[in-house]
Amino acid sequence: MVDGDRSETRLSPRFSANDKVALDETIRRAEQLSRAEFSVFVGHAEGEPRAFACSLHATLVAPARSVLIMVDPDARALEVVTGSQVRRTLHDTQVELAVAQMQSQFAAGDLVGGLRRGIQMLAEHARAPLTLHAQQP
Amino acid sequence: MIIAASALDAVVPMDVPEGWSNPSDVNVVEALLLLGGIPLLLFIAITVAVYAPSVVRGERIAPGQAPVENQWIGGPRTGTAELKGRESEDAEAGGASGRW
Repeated sequence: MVDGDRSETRLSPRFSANDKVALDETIRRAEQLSRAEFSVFVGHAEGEPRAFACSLHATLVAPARSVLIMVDPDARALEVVTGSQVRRTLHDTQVELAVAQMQSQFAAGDLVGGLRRGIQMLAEHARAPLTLHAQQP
Repeated sequence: MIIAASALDAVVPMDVPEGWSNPSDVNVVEALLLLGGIPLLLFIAITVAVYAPSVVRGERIAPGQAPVENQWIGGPRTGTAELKGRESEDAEAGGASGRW
């Protein structure tokens, strides 16, 4: 893609009040569904994006059971970091699917829509599988 | 040519027809105000109508893209001020990366 085309679909880095409400609602539902903590960072990644995303993830209250999504609109970088407990149900290949979905919506200029869809996908995959007779003695 | 014009004048009189108004000549200043002032007022009104809602909402109206402002939903209150180092990272953390 040439630079001229890239500038046309630059994401708006500022969330409106409605965007924040929609994202909060999506995160709340995702956490209820998956029992994992979700966090979204949109901003400038200092240094290498993956390393920066990992440092953000480590700063969370419970990194092991947290999922961090980092988006740098200027660098067009997207990083998803999953904690060690979350990885038991949410595998990296499943994360890649969500990342691909978010990438396509970001490329179309839809930051909030991409984040919401990505969070929903991650939560659906992170949900612990139902176990029959698990409640019986 | 002059003869033709005179002949035409004889047939069709050039006077102001009866019943029509006969206004006085327009002042140059008034003409300038009318022809320049009204478009200027329209320009100002349209500009205000376009930018006023954005200004009221506190949005940025300057040309060019605004710098990226860090926004962290579900992050610590301190934001990125106290990021932890590599030693405190989850060694078994996973995930995926993407560019678009």
